Amino acid sequence: MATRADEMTPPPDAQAGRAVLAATGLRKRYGRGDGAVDALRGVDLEIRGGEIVAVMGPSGCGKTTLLHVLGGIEPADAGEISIDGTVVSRDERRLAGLHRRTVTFVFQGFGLIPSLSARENVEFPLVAAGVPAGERHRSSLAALADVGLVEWQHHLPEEMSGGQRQRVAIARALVPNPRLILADEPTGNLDVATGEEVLDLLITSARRRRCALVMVTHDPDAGARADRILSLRDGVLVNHTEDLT
Amino acid sequence: MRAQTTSMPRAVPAASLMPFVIVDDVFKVYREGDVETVALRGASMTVQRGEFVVIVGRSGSGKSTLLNIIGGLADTTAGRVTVAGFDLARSDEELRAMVRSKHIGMVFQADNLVPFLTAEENVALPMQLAGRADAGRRARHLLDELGVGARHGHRPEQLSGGEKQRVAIATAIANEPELLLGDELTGELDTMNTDAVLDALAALNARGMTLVIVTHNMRVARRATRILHIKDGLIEESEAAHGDKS
Repeated sequence: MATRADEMTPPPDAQAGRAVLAATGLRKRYGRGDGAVDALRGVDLEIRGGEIVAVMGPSGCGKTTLLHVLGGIEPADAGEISIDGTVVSRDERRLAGLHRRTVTFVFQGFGLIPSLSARENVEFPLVAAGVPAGERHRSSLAALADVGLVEWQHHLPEEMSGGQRQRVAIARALVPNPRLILADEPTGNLDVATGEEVLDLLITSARRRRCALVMVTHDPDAGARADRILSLRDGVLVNHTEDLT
Repeated sequence: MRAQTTSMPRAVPAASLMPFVIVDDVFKVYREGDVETVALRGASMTVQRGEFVVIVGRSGSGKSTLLNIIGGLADTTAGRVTVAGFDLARSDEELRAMVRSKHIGMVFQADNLVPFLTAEENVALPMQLAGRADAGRRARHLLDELGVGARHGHRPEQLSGGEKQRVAIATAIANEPELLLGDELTGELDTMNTDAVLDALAALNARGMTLVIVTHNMRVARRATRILHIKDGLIEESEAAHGDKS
């Protein structure tokens, strides 16, 4: 568990135990009446700065819903979310604004725009942040270099392999220097060998930048490399495995 | 096999008088180890400005390969491809990127949108990257035109398949390309959503946009002004169509 040399030392934020994200009493229901499904039934959790957390559990247990709610993609029906100590869940605009600066995403299906080049796909979070064009260009190239794809900057996603597309998505997640990356089955669309490479890149990049990472995953290898595993069953966290390091 | 590279645009003289797309005797061979697969074996076609061309063929006929070559996403093994007067087969990646960004929009079967952005934000994105000051206003306008204006604040997973594809079309045409390419862009839609997308395409074509769509769905083909049939890597037949309403 987290045995690689570059993963051994918890970053300063984690040692200090400061929470980058905290959630209490999260509830989410889909549908109505007899067909209603309670995807989240009162979830409390805290993600400390710089830590790597795996969210695991069977299909349909609410993992992806939890990630979407934490990331502001879907609103919770009840509960509270704080980012860096500021409650954001009562105001959707505030939630979106804070998330854009602090929280980024990596999806199983990559989530790249097919008509934009690799560099443009990486660059766009900086547009929303108001970064000037020249600096955006430099930062997006640097992020592509970090994931080994600078020579692919002009290529469209359609020209790239699945592993390369996920690397572009990782570069996009890293480029605003987030405090937290939320990753939903980041290796789910990749073969085993490519998945290992992408997982390694994601974890080492987060460690190097002292950025917290929450991964929803079925992959036991991904769980083994986390600092902590949160087990979700039927919309409830049933077990917090603390400090695997 | 990539042809020689050049950093200078190769605009052909009097390009505006030429067909907007010229595919001339194009071969495409995929090689993996000792195995060769011939996807295109001398395909030729032209598309005039303002046409709505549908390329119909079975799985494996070479239609997606042909579309990817027109879109500058794949190299030819042999032959010539000209789009908007630029010789794509003899262009480097930088020039191809320029031709794509200025002249071509593309929509695929799925996964065309960024999941954590709203419909409006997705459409505005290419314009913001191009430095357009009116990105937000134009994004709303495009969504209205495509019949999904009321969904501007929704994220992709809150949209139906047909709504997602219309948002994807708005994103693809945001920077006003002259040519829109679609690869089975109704492939995951039911009949009602397919018709909504086809109505949107027909409206774009009526305003002068050139469309090239590949599909195996004759419901899509019936809306075209010309249908090309592709089989075993060759364009076999071209027939005029009437842009029928479904």
